[in-house]
Parts: sequence; C-alpha cells; structure tokens
Amino acid sequence: MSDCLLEAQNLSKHYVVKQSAWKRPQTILALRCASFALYPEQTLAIVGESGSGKTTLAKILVKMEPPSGGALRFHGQSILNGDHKERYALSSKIRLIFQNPYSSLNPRWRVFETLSEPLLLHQKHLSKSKRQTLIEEWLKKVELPVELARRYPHMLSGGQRQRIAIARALILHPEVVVADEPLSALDVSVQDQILKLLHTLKKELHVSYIFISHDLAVVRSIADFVCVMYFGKIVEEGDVYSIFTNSKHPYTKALLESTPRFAMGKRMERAPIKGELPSPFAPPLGCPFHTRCPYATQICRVIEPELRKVEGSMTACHHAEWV
Amino acid sequence: MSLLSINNLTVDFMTHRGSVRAVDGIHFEIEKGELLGIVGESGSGKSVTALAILNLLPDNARVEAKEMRFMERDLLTQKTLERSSWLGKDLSMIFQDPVGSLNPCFTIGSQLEEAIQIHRALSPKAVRLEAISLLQSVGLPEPHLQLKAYPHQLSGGMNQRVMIAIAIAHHPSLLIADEPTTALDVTIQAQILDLLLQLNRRYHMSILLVSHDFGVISETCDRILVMRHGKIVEQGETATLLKSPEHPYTQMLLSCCERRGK
Repeated sequence: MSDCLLEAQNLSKHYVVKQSAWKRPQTILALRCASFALYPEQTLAIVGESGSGKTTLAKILVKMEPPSGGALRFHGQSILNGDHKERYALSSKIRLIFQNPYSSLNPRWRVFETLSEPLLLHQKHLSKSKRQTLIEEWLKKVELPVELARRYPHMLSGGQRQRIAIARALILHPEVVVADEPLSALDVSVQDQILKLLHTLKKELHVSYIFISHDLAVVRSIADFVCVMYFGKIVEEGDVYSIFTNSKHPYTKALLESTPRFAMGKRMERAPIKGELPSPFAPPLGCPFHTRCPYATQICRVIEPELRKVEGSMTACHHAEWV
Repeated sequence: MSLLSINNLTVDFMTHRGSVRAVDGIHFEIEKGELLGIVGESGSGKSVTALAILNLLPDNARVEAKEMRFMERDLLTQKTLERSSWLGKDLSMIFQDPVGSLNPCFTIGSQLEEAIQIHRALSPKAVRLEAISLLQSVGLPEPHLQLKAYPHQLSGGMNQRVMIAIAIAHHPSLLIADEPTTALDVTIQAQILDLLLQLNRRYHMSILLVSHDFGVISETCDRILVMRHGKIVEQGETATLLKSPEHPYTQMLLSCCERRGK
C-alpha cells in the first residue's frame, strides 16, 4: 500500500548461541515472520511477555540489528540494504526511546549536551544560540523547567529523565518513534503523566508511534492498533477495540485477565495461565502457546496455526471460534 | 496482642547536606494471618519502613520509635546476635529484584539449603529433601534438577519463586514482601500473587505487601495503608478505602490506576 509509512514483511531474526565450550552452537529464533504496517499519525502497540521478541523487533526497526530475513519498507522503499549515507538520513526519521531512563542517558553529559547531540549530527547549520533556544523550547514542550538544561542525569527523577529521553527522540521531528517499554521503569502515577505527554506530542507533531509494552492496560489509552506477540511470533493483531472487547486468542485473553484490577474484597486464585515461556533452545512443536494454553488439543501440539481473520482481528489459533 | 506493632516510627538519613526524614512518625499494627498492603509512590518511605523493621538500613540511618514490637520482642533494643536467632524463622523478607538478591556464585540449592540449616539441625539428606519439597510448594517445575541451577540460568519469575522458598523455609509468622512483582511480567505477577495468597491461607502467615501499584495491593490485601512523604495519609479496609477514598492523594492514585484499567 502506498500510504503506508513503515511496513514490515516476514521479518525474522535468529541468534547463534553457544551455551558452553563443549556444546555445539545452537540457533534460536528470536523473531519469526513478523509482518505489520504502520500508517501516518497512528500508534501501533506491540505487546508480549519478556522473551517474546519485542525488543529484538524494536532494534531491527531502528536498524541497530540487521534482520535475518524479511523486508522492511519506509514510504514504500526498502531500507534494509542502504549504504551509510541512507542509514544516516534515516536515523533522523525513525527514532527510539529506550526502556530504562537511568541507563539511556550519558551520566557525564548535562541535559543540554544530551539534547544537542541529535542536533549536532543532523542539523549542523544551527548556531549555538539557535540550538539553545530550540532546546529550551523542547524542555517546555516536555513540561520541564528550562533550568534543567544545566543538570546532570543523576540530579533528575525517573520521570524527568524519561521526559528528556522523549525530547531527545522527538527534537528532530521524526516520522516514526519506536518506544521500547518507556513506562516500565516508572511509578504508576508517573506512567500516567508520561502517557499523556506522549499523546499531546503526537497530536502536535503528527508523529507515529510504535509502542512496545508488556502491559496491555497501558496500551489501551494510547494505541490505535495492537499486535500481541508470543515466543517471537505475532499471535493476534487487530484494532484496540476488537482486541480489548473481543479478543480471540487465549494468550491475549490471559494477558487481559492478568492485569490487576480493583477488587472489592480478596481476590480468588485466578492466574489465567500457568508456567512460563518455553525455552528457546527447545521450541515446542505446533502452536508455541500449547504448553500453557487451557484450550490446547491434539491439533495444537502438531500443527502451528497461521494468522487468519476471525471477526474483527487476525488470530493465530486453531480454536479461535469457540475460545 | 498484635503480631507486629509499630508506634511513632521515624527514620532519618544523615547526609553531608543535612538530615533527611524518610519516615515521619507512623503507626500501624499487623494481626496474625492478616494481609496488609502499603501503597505509595517512590520516595514515600514504604521500603524504608519495611527495611527498618528488619534493621537492614545503612549505617547513616537513624531509626527512632516509641515502640516497635514483633511477637513480644522489642526490636529497638535487641542486639544483632539475638536478632539472628529468629530472623528468617519468624520473620522474613522478599526483595524487589529477585536476580540481584540471590548470590550469583552459588547454586540455588546451596542457598536454599543454607537457609534451612541455619535454624534447624538436620542431616544433609533431610535438608535436601526439605529443599525439594519447598521448591515444589512454590510451584517450581522439576525441583530436583533446579537445585543445581545458578540464578542466571533461571528466569525472573523462577528466581522470585526461589526467593519465596527461602523466605518461607521455616513458615514465618510474618513475611515482608517489598515490591515482589515489580520486575516481573503481568502473567507471572498474577502467579506470584496467587502463591502469596495460598501461603497466607495454608500457613496462616501474615504478609506485609509493599507496592506502588494500587491494582496489585487492592486485589491481595485485607487492609491498606497509603503513604506519602513518609506519612500515612489514609488507611482502612480495602473495600471501604476503594469505595470512598477520603484523602485527595488516595483519590489521585486511584484515578491513575482506573484510567489505565479502562
């Protein structure tokens, strides 16, 4: 499709891991055939547990890692094989916000230096005074006092640091921002503020987000479209409404039920799924979720389901109709 | 007589720029078998309160209280040696970061066996069996194999289960859980909270659960304390507190969580 901003087709990534000096190196599949499309001014959320391949996907999208297979297009043009110059140009269009604001800012740099770096790299014509005003403007946009520009990261709280990281990502007016769990290191009340900020900036700058999170509840207020990942694979995708009201995949349902809710009175035991992700060194045959799925039958243990349309969303489950 | 009673607890930290008050005159009690939750943002003093009970604060902290009693013992005057005779047996703790709080150089088996041996004279074989049954009770699959694993070989959720197994080795009367699920995924979080509730029911164990997430606390606890700037701003039974929060801060915290859950 031509109006599509960023399109991924069958992206996959494998790593070769050597577990010990006496063992043969093994290949693990971190990402298996992920396809999605991001449209202008939309937010695509990618949800899954740790180990489901979300961060690998983020790294591929910002070209920190090359994929092992598949295609990635930006404005309809493949961006996987570009030379250094193209990659450089692209790095101002697609930006990343990291998970941990405590380690993603250089501790020896003042906020001013952190925010100048992208400008020095991509807008070399700016004079120092212009840079200064631009940075001050951006500090105001992320609702921080201007004096903060002279501080070092250790003098800031987690929420303030994450705001700096957001300003650093957005200062070049990118078209796509990949946010890799931007809230998970923050308190619930601060998460709320950062979500609101991301929302305001999106409207103001007409930017598209790829929002990665392990918590479905967070995603609900910001996303337009949701992909649920499990074990390196997209198992369900659909618009926010259908995912939250009428999800078809048992894993999505389990994620929704796991989110703590206000309960008047004590909770009954209700962990929706038992166990943990299977080991990537011994991937299960058939549907990767069958080891934890309460609805698994014989077919799930043998044949891996493909994504198919079931009511409003795309689901990779053999039993999506009656689950 | 309540299990743990704290009266007018104050904790100050001495820094080179003067003293900072982290906990400012709080009172609370825990009854036998009760699930008490402390909720607040970071910096509100909830972890410091938990650490003060266990005397785990750094040297620059000054703990003062009118009364701090646990099972008839005065926590303020007891010496470290006296304390070690019951710490880990009657009172134990789970920390926030499961991977960071286990020793990376030892297998989980040896760490768990150490915790068992400290308070009980058992033969090595009996200790091993006890360790296996503990790992089984916290729901770790294949416990006899896992005993030989090092912390880095297990996932965060599995490490947290090992931490819980170490903490409940002697069926303590009170378990202090400081943000036990913050580092974990939501699906594993639900499993760990279930496990804590089971332990509470099976051994009639009191639990002090500290968290910043109102959702986690409200699902699990009988009674909630809301802390802010080192003070308890509101407390009450879970149902009453959720239905009619009085303090504006509690209302703010609740509205944050509600917006998320919508």
